[in-house]
Amino acid sequence: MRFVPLTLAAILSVSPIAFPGEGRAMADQAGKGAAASPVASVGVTLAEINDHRAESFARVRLSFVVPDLVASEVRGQRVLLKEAKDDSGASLVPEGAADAKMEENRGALAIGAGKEPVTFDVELKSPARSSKSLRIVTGEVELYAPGRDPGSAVTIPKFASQDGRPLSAPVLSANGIVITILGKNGLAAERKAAGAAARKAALAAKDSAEEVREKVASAEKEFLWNYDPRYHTVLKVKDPKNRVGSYSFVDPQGKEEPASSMLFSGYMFLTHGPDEAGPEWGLRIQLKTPKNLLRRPFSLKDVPLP
Amino acid sequence: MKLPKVVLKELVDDRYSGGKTESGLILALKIEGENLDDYPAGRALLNDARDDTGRSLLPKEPANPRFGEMIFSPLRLDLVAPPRSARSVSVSGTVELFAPKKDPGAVVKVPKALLALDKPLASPGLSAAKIEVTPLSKGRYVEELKKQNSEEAFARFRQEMKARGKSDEQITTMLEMRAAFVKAFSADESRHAVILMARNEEMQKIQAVTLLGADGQEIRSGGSSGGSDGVTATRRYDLQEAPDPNLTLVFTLYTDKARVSVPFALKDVPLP
Repeated sequence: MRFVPLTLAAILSVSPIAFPGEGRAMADQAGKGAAASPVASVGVTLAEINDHRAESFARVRLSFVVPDLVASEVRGQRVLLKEAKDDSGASLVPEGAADAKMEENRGALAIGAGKEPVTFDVELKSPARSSKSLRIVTGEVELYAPGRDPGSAVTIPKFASQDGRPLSAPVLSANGIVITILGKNGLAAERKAAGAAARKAALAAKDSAEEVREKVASAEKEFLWNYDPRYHTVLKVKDPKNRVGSYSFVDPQGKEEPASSMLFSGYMFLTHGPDEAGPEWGLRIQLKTPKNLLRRPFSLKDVPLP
Repeated sequence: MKLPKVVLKELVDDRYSGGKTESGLILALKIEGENLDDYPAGRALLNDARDDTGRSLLPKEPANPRFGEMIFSPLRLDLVAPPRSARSVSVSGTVELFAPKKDPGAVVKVPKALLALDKPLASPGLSAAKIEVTPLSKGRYVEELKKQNSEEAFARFRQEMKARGKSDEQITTMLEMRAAFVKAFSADESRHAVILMARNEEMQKIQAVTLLGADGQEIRSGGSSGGSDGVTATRRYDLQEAPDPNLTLVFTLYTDKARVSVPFALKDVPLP
């Protein structure tokens, strides 16, 4: 992402407080323009406001830059919005803002992610067209940077050889995490289980023998229909404390390749290129800990709307 | 033929601070009426656009959009963003619809199309439309892919994008994204496919290609993709099985006679 100076950023203020685990003080940026903010300073900078005015999906999106963190090291982010009001005093806090969940930072996998600062967006409800400014916006972003706590990761070498068996590692057991690789064997077992579940449901519904056969065949055929081993590694994950933060592949030379992850039909799909995740590759499972969850507050006052 | 009516589908006022992204007013139009399947593609052209203060919202450079497939909602107009204080806009223009049924020359059938690969198809219909299409062998296709990924092709792309006002940084990012896309999603060259090549500007005259088997039934493609080195372009239609050399290719062509114009005028549309 290109760093863009903004006159609006002149009214940006950042709280001068320290956070546990980071051991750094936040620099007070009040009164400093985004362009003048030294990259070494700690905090967040407003980069852009987008007021998307439409009948459907109307919203304001505030894009922030965190100059001291590169995009590739932040694998997840969660925005906790405390207050947002326009100049009429109307609240712009969206419904569900209090229940925000950690989301994958897809920018971590983007081209140039190792050089560009991490960005995050704060979404607000759409203000009236007559509104001229945002009177106040305050909150905090939680940034998950697994590299800040090297002890939070476990690497399973040659993970493909563990097909169908739960991965074994003390840090996983200690957190109640059970991860099973679904290669050819694991997938066949899950497919069979999906067929058995369909059979049980069909029998309970007193379906005819023909219908039972059809439903079992359909459940097995359609099970993870979108799985393509060239591009996906599929995991069955039990993570009762929600501790897993991200996954990476590790090539035979030990180089880490972050994996994009998506939950589909209850299974975790890790996406990779056709040359990645071969039989010699490792799988790194990275957990969230107090040391690798970094917090940055943001606070805007009287920001003109575009 | 009763012409369809043009109506407003959506109005979006997309406003940005900072100058990195340009603000703009977007009008999405759609057509309503009978036999809409007769119009598989279209484009929207602007005549005038003003806000309620009388300020012109016409873009600096008049757009000359290509025809787009209707399923992709091509009837989009990009205007200059009005000030926040504006209340409404009035817009007029023309929607041009591609109506292949109006011109018998717009549909060209080429039987036994794959009998001679790497040689231009002999077709009076294509010749009349000044289009030369060559079905490719896999070997020739691999050569074309190399050309499309060559430094010469990238240099042409840079030149074209510069002419469109893109910065070096933007062009580099586009090329990097393209390289990443090619690496991750390039088609498996060993898979069955019908591959066609034409000069760039001639390929753009082709709206669609349908494949017919010996029984006259359509052979469904599992997906299509395209590429260009800036001079020639390829289109690839993936198939489940090896294509029959005797199959028929049906080209639907954008011809001047196969167009109908529908004027529209939207008055005092409230801004969101």
